[in-house]
Amino acid sequence: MPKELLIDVSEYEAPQPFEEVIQLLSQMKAGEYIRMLHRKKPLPLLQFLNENGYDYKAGTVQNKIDISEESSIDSVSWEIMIWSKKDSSVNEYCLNAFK
Amino acid sequence: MNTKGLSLNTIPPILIPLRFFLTAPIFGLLAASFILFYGSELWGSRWLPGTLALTHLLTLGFMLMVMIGALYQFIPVMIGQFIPGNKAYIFTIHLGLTLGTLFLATGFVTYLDVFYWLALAFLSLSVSLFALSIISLVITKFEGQLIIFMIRILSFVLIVTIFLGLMMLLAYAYPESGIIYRQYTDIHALWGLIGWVVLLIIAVSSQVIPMFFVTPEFSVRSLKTLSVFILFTLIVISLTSIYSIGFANWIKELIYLALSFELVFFAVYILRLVHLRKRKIPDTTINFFRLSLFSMLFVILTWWVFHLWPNTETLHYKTQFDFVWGVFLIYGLAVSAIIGMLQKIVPFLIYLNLQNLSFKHPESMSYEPKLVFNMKQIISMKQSQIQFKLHTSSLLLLVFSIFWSQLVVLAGFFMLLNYVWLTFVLYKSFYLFKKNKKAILQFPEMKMDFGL
Repeated sequence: MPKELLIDVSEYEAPQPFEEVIQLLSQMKAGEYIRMLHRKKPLPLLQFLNENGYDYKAGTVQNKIDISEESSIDSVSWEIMIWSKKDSSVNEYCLNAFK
Repeated sequence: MNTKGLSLNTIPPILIPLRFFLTAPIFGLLAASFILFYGSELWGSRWLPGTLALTHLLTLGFMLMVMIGALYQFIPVMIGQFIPGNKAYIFTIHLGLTLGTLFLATGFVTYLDVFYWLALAFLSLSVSLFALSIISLVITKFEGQLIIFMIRILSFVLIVTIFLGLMMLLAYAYPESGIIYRQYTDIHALWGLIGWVVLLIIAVSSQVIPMFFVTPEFSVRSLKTLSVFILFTLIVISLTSIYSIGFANWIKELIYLALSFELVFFAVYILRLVHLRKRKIPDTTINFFRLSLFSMLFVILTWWVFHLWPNTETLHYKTQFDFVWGVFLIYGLAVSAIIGMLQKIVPFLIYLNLQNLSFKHPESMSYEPKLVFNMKQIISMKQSQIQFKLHTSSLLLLVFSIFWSQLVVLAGFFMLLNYVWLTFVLYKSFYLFKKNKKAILQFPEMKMDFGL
């Protein structure tokens, strides 16, 4: 089973999320895929993935953000799975698991 | 929105937005020079030629210019598609706005009809082309996206504002037409400064603030409702004042009260979100947004003071306060938000373009020092702080100069410094981009491959 690399960029200001995930992609080895947590749907990143041999699945997750000790607000965050299309076993696994 | 399977276009060619961003501060320099040239004469009456020229150098030459550039940059990042229009089309919009504004200011100052006609032709061409391209993009697609909803409203508001402006311009250019324009001036200003500026700040800040300051997201439902309320209120105010419909006074008061509540809600809402950000990293650009919103709150508060207590003592200051409100709405609310926004979106645009280019020339990525700047290397915190100090001092000096005319030269001088600094920072950013683009292009181009 492929190894998941988790990266949570939901508290980073733009363009740090983009920089962090590109950094991680450059270190990703065969047999690995990335699970990225973000507060936005990062369209510039998705464009980059489309154009550079990667596939992804982006979906939303409902969660609550604490804004003080007493209250919280509902918020939607994004979970983006990223893998290389060239890594055939990971590609096959991710297509089955996430699509 | 499902973007899967679509080809995304999120990074516009840098010269499209930058062309507008680099032209805008030149109009700021011109406006400041006007203040130095005319002095306190400008605060004599809002109808004076110099005053009208100054107002439009700032509202069209600086504000609209940056806002159009920002939309060319932001819409692709938000929806993954460019605003339609090839290079020649966008070049015509830019040239039309530049020349149209210059002709308009020249017309106001020289009283020569030919300049009004030229302004009418160039401005209507430019704004119509822009409105057509943006409407064609947002009319059918992308249901539910806040930015698209806002742009639909904004397109309508821009068209109303410009239509009223062009109608008045026609009255100037062709006095025989008999168009009675003065009653439309306040409505034109209301749609421009409250409609277009406030709604655009709502639209842009709902995207920029969570993105760059990591605040909680804006509530889509609240902002949509607020925008519709603001639009509705503007329509009612305009109709009652154009047709002098016999509404009882209390109904008119209620409408003004509604507009004030809407604007206060908007200001408090943004200030609260900024306050709620988790990582309170000091950032000067937030101060620009705060200054912008406090300027608007100050206008609302003092407007009600004059409105509710119209005694001789307050009326004595009414003419001056007309100018105070103008300065706070144009230079405080709009220009502060725009300069603040530029501190973020110009480095972001340069970063994305260089990053994109370096992917296509992968060997450039291992070069030291890094050829892809981080945002703070493009416009540093220190540079933004200097900009904020210059902007705040020039704003306060402009307001004080309305009451103490001997300060007007100092106010004009500080405004000039503010725009000189902005021009320097923006042109330097462009120079850094060009330098590193050239360096990246030295490396061979190939498809990205991370070794898998």
